[in-house]
Amino acid sequence: MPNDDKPIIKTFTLDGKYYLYDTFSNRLFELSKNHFIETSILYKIGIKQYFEQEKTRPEHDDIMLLINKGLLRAEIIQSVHNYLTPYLKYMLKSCVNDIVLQVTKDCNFKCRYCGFAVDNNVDRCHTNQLMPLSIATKSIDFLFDHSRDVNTIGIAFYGGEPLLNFQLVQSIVEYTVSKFNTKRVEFRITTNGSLLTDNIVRFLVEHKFRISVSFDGPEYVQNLHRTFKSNGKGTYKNVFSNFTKIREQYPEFFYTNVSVMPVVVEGEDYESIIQFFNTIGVRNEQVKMLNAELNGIDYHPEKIENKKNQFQNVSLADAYTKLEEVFDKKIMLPQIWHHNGTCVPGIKRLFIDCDGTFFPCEKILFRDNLSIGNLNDGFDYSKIESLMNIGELSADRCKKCWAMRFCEICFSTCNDIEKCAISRAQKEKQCDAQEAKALWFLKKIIQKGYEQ
Amino acid sequence: MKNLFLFSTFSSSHFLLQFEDYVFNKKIENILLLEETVPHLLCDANISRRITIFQSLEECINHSDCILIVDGCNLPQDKVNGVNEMAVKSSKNVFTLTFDEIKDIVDIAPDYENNDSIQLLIFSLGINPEVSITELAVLKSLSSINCKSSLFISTKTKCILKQLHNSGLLSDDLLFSAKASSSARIYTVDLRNKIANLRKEHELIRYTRPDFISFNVDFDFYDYKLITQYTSAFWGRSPDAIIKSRWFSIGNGRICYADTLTKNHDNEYNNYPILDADDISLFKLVEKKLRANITFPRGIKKL
Repeated sequence: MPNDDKPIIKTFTLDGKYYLYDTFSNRLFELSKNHFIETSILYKIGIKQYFEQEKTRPEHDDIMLLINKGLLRAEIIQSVHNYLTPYLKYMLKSCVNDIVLQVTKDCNFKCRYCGFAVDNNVDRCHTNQLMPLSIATKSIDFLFDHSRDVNTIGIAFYGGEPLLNFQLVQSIVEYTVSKFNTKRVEFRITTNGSLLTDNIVRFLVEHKFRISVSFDGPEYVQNLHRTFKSNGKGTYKNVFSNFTKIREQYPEFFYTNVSVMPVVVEGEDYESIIQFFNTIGVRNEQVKMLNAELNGIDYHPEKIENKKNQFQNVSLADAYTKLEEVFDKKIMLPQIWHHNGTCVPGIKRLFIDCDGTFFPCEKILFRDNLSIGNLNDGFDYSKIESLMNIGELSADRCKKCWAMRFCEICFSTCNDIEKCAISRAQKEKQCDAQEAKALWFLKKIIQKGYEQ
Repeated sequence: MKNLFLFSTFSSSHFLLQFEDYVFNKKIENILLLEETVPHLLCDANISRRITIFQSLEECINHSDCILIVDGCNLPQDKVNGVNEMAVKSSKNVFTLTFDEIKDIVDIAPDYENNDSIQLLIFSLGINPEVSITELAVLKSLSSINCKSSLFISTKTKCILKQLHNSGLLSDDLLFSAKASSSARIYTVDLRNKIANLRKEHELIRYTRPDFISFNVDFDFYDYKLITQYTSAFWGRSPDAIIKSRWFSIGNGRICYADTLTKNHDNEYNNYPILDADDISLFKLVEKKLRANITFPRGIKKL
């Protein structure tokens, strides 16, 4: 029968040395070979049996000392449950603070990596559907009625290409400004940059929009990935001209409110993209790199292979910073706990599509099983509650997981596309990846320590 | 002065109405609010003044005698300008209340060595732990027994007292002084987000024998045992109150408010004196605790 009092730890080796990570204390230890073996024995037989063992080895006393110090615990949390669950109904009633409006499903670009641009995509597809004004105003009314307890609200315009429905954007902005008297409203827009005419830019500047331009950088990169839907031609000249015009006409606004989001496809030269933006006067903090995989279109694995290491360094840099923050916090975990990664769906980035259907954010697949309500019926509370508690699917594993502090599984990655349902099996695939990432991080900080 | 229009964010109106009865001057009989800023506590709190709610800014201004713009930097600037313009047109007095540091507040270095006075320690832990509520409750409790206090408290509370005093809106009952000639001293120490920072407060630990210790913690805080361990180690006693805020961070610098506190994520919640910062009886609870600590039973007299 398997013992259930194994300590929640991770032992590993690196460069011929032996290490132990203790989850309860969130600390790393370097061990001698004998202590490493002793820890492995403890892990194998469990704490109770280890206590009953005869003290024949000197390392036994040392490990006992660690246990008596409160380390190497077999139980840290009692139940896996999001502590905000009791407040859910209230939060959804009064604390919704950010909505993302899909003002159109149409786009004038056909980008190689875009999930919407694939013609036979069952989940997200560009169509010429526009959000009607009635849905848009109803969305703002919904936000007004559900945001009483927040001081600042955000409204983002998303597409397709939202500027294809600029008239609606204007109407919503004016309606919102007249509606909210005591809340700061932050407007955001994500655009491909091709439709940023003088009039549009003036309007965006006037209302202090935060503009994210999807601009990949150098001409050969932009033209390779981002082409006009109508004629297949490259979009660089058009986007570059509009983009630099904002910098010239509104320099202060440009540096505070404009950012670029180049999509780096596996294998591309990250440094040269950053360098390109620097040469046209964009500061590093304005560049927000995204990674993409090609959906099988023009995919050349041999070109990517030789630059793989370079790419990996870039994509993992952000992950390292996040995990380092977790590692620096030596706080005790509460008895009722849920891993990171899941938000409270609907609160922070409520995505409202052209038909008025709600999704947790703009990044997920727009499948029925991930829809969390609509403008007519309001929120689907039970769906939201289950999404924010996906840890319960694998609670037994979570409670014993050594990487629990580092875990950041979002429910969107636990969706089984074939079954159209969130499943434990799908989640556990993510669990393996999270453990691998946590181990990678621990090794990285050890190496960093030696470098210093 | 009878009708005061409170033009503020939801959280600021919530905050001010929590202690309106002992901060605002008696001349103010009626508080006017915009509907979108009416706080939850209005439903169950024991607010002594009449509250009138209007749908539009124009109605609020027309029915008011004076206007208090609170925390203007968090309000839409065009609306603040609009209120100012309308107030000028209708000849209404406008006062502003900011919670940021203001220039004419001089920070006086706390003098811990005065052992004769009553010493009250208030610690602040985490994001938005609402320490002003405790500071004002303590100040009011002391004032109610005619005990004059020296304040070494948070800038936010100092700003409130100073600005309300300057605008003539502050209650006459509050007794406080910036000088040493007072019988009680209130010290607030911001520990940011780590209780361990208390270890760095050497002078405080060495020279104070607190009559009252309270901790204001944020919504996410649950390690009460650690607080008790620290106060026991430094002053040989448990804290008198741990006051928990209902505000919590949801990222991007934004905060949300929880309608109630539950025991759900707290460890051994029942074993510690946890008070809800929004509890309508908070003032009475603090006052009771405080009075018990600073007075002696009949037949025992301090010499």
